[in-house]
Parts: sequence; structure tokens; C-alpha cells
Amino acid sequence: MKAIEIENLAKVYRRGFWGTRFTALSGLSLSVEEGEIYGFIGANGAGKTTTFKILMGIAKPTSGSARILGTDISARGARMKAGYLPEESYYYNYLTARELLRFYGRLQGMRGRDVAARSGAILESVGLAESADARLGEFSKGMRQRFGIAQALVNDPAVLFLDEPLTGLDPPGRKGLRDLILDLKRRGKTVFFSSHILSDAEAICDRIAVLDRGGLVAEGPIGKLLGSKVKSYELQISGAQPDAVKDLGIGVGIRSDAGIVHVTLDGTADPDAVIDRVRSAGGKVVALIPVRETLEEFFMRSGPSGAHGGLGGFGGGA
Amino acid sequence: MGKVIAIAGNTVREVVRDKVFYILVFFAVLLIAVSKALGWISMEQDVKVMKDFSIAAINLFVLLITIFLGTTLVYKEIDKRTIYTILSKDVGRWQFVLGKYFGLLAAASMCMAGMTAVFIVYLLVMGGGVEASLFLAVGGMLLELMLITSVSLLFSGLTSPVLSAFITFCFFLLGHSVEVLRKFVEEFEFQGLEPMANAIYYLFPNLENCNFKMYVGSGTLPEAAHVLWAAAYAAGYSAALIGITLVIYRRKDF
Ligand SMILES: Nc1ncnc2c1ncn2[C@@H]1O[C@H](COP(=O)(O)OP(=O)(O)OP(=O)(O)O)[C@@H](O)[C@H]1O
Ligand SMILES: [Mg+2]
Repeated sequence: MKAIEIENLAKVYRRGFWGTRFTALSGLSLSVEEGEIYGFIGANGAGKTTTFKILMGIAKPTSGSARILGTDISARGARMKAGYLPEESYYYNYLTARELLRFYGRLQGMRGRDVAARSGAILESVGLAESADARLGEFSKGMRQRFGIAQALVNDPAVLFLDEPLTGLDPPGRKGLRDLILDLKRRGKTVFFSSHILSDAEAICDRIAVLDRGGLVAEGPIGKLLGSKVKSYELQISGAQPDAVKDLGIGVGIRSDAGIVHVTLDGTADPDAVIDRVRSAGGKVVALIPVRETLEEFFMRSGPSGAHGGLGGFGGGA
Repeated sequence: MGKVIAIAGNTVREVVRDKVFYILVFFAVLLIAVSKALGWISMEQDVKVMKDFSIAAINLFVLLITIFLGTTLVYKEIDKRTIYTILSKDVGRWQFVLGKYFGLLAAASMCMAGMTAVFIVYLLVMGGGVEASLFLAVGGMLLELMLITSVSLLFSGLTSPVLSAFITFCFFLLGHSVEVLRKFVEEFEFQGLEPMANAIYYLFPNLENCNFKMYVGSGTLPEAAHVLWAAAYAAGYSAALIGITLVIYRRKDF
């Protein structure tokens, strides 16, 4: 069984006084396997949140269908084993973290006692153990975001839907959440999360989908999307003057920093030959770093700004 | 049903922890107390006047609180997007609507009960007597609350709080005058106006049905059938409005 299946999902919003039609999603199809970490990548306004809202029953699709763990999203019980972190987290300011968890647990059909037994550990796992009895109104933005993750975990869900979970977190918070997501995967959970921060997706995702203006432009394992081709090399040399290195004619972008000369070599260069030439000129190679395409660059190429046919070579990804 | 209760309970808790609520209750109590101090009512005057005045004050404040809560609470859920966290759980939209309705009703009733308790204590201290008609009047107000809450709930999901408060208040005013209005048109035989008066009569709730305030201090009580009819009327009308609200919410994007 697939954790998430989306088939031909479309959403047309009506905007303004005259109800002008605006297509936020057009024919989106994708599926997420159980136990996967799936990154849903797209620029602002691409339709990520719209997709989450439809899956979570907050908005109705204009056409198409979707299933969570085999149950159609329009059916009761579809979200019983799901957890959802909304994009912008607002919660009831007058309740404490513990009280709110209890409330959300009851909405998922749990007994108050069972929630109470879990809530300590859940709050601990998102770093809110000390604020368990503070009211949400007193929380900072990052703390609200952490609480948002806690409430998504309250029913020990099999599938997690996280809409930009890393936004608003400090560096330890980001690291903590990445670890938490990896830990959930180890426990067999599926995580579907959106982001435009690509290094995060790169670090933890099994597969990603790139969304642009309501449609998929690429989908697949990151390695396959990016390829393994080396784009360029960065060579670091000691014991040589920048001018002397420049005279060798081995590369461009030569700069010197604390006695180390940095050179950028073309991806097609032969590193062995270059190293030989540096050595024979009396220089010492301290590092040679291959630079591969980052998801960022891929994104720029296939996203809205690179829409001029930048997708060549990724046809096999979907 | 457990989820409806959870949502209703949460709504009550929100109200109970909101300062505005206490401010309104405080003013109602103040008004009752001050009425005497200002000499509007003296004990030589009738205890009945005091009762009438206090009950009217309670009615007005409960109405204000109900309109205020009914029009802001649901709007706030949508505006602050806390509704996302509810609908994304295993919760049907009907459970949300019913939970909100009963929560609002419970909060407003609690507040009415509180004011009534203060009023009764005050009455006893001032040497007045407590009779059944007083509770009947309060019960009638509860029926009115049921109606007003369902009106405010219907509109709070559709428009801004200010507009829905205004509409709810119009319902309240028209609801108390539909009877008079229709009689008036009939009596003076305004030809073309009769269909319109009839439409208003059937469209707006007849809140005078639930008004038992005139029995306070009169020594008489209405017939049981009359009271039952009022209760059935209020329940039926509210149920119809909640039904419309459900249909709207079923299709709504948040
Ligand atoms: N309720 C709405 N009414 C009209 N248009 C909407 C509505 N909600 C979203 N849109 C439009 O749909 C498009 C997709 O919005 P969505 O929120 O899904 O984007 P997103 O990918 O989540 O963006 P971001 O990265 O900024 O969060 C946007 O152009 C947005 O303006
Ligand atoms: Mg978004």
C-alpha cells in the first residue's frame, strides 16, 4: 500500500469580487511509498500549501482524488493515522502545551489518559519539556513551530504532513528536527514535507518532487535528478604565488587566502595533469574538491526563473 | 459525540479564560446594583420594578455576550487558522459546527446562570421573594439564546464579525417585532405590504414566543402547552439554521 497517492489533483480558486478563476494546482499526480521521506519542493506560490490543505480536508479539490494509506481523503477516518503541521502555526493562546495536546489527542479519538501518558515524551522530543505548562500565548515563534510538530505527533501517526517544518527554527532546532524526521523514518513512518530550503531536502529526503505553478516539473531520487557529473573542481595550493599560478594557465577564479591559492578548474579538466603541473612549478596541492550540482542550482534551472527549457536531461526522473 | 464535546469544552474554556467575558458580566452586575443606588428603584417602590429591571438587564447583557461570542469565536478560528488544526484531525465538519454551537450556548448559559445567581442573592438580601415565574423568564431567555446563537453561528462563517453582529442584532430586533409588524399591517390594511410582512413573519424567528417576562410578579403562569410550544419552536428553528450552517460548511474552503 502507498502512504500517499495523489491523482490528477486540480484546484481552481475564485479570486476577488468577480470570482476570477485562478488555477493553483493543475493535474498533480504523485505517490509516496511507506517509510519514505519525501520532499515537496517549490517556489513561493507553487501550490505546496494548497496540496497540503486538500490532503488534510481543509480545502476541497476542484477535481482529481487522493488517498492516504489507501483511504480516500473525502472519507471519514482518512486522517486518523496522519499528523499535520500547518504552514503558519497558530494555536489557542489560552491553553497550555499539555492541555492543547490533550485536546488534539481527543480529536483524533484518543482517550485523555493515553494522551497524558504520551505528551511528556512528545514535548521532550521537540525540546519543549520545560514549557509544557506554559500557555501558547507566551510562546515565541520557534516554540510555536516546535509545538506544531508535537501536536502533529500526538496520535503516533503513520504518515506525517509537514508544511515547511524547518522555517522559523534556530540552528539547533533545525538539526533537532532533521534528526527527529530521520528517527521517524527509522520507526517506519512516512514523512511528506515541503520546503524551499533545498539543503534540508538534500540532507534527508529519499525522493523529491519539484512543483512549479501547480504542476510537477521533476520527480525522483535526488541522486538521479542531480546526476553524479562533476561540474567543476576547486584546487587549493600552498607554497606558490597567485601570479605564478596564474601563469600556469590551469584554471580561472584565482584568489589567495592566508597563503593558500584557490583555483577553480573546469569540470572537464584532467585533475592528474593539473596536479603534475602545479608540483613541477614548486607548488603543493593541499586539496582538490569536486563540485557537483546542488539541488539549489537544479531548482533554479527547473524552477520558474529557469523555465526556458531548462529541464533537458531530467526527463527520466519522473 | 466525544469530539463534539471536546470542541464545545474547548470553546467554553476559551470564553472562561477571556477577560472581555468578565468585563461584560461585571457591568451587568454593576447595573443591577447601581440601579438601586441611583434611586431608580427604591424599596418603597415595587419589588416588581426591580425584578423587571434586573431581568431586562440580564437579558440585554446575555444577548450582547452571545452576539459578541457567537460572531467573534468562529471568525477567530478561521482568521487565526486554528481551524486547520481541527479539520485536519479525524473530525467531520458537522462535529466542528455542533461543537461550536453547544460550546457557545454553554458559555452564554453559564454567564446567564451566574448573573441570575447574583440577582437572586441580591433580591433575597433586599427582602424580595423568589417565585417560579422568575425561573420561567430565565428559561425563556435560554430559548432565545438558542436561537440567537444559531443565527450568529450561521453568519460568523460568512462575513466579518462586525457585519455578522449587526445582522444578528437585526434578527434580534425583528424577532421581537414580527408579531407587532404583522398585526400592524393587517390592522391598517396596507394592501401591497401584506406579503412582505408575512415573509418577514415566517423568515425571522418570533422571539416573543420565548418571552415569559410578563409573568414575573403577576401571580400567574402560562399554560404548559404554551411553554412546550415555545421550546419546540426555538429548538426547531435553531436546528434549521444549524442545518443551513452545516450545508455551508460542508462545501467551504478554509
Ligand atoms: N484562498 C485562496 N484564494 C485564492 N488564491 C489562493 C488561495 N490560496 C492560495 N492561492 C494562490 O494559489 C497559489 C498557490 O498557493 P500556495 O499557498 O499553495 O503556495 P505555496 O507553494 O505554499 O507557497 P509558499 O512557498 O509561499 O508557501 C498562489 O498563487 C496563491 O496566491
Ligand atoms: Mg506554502
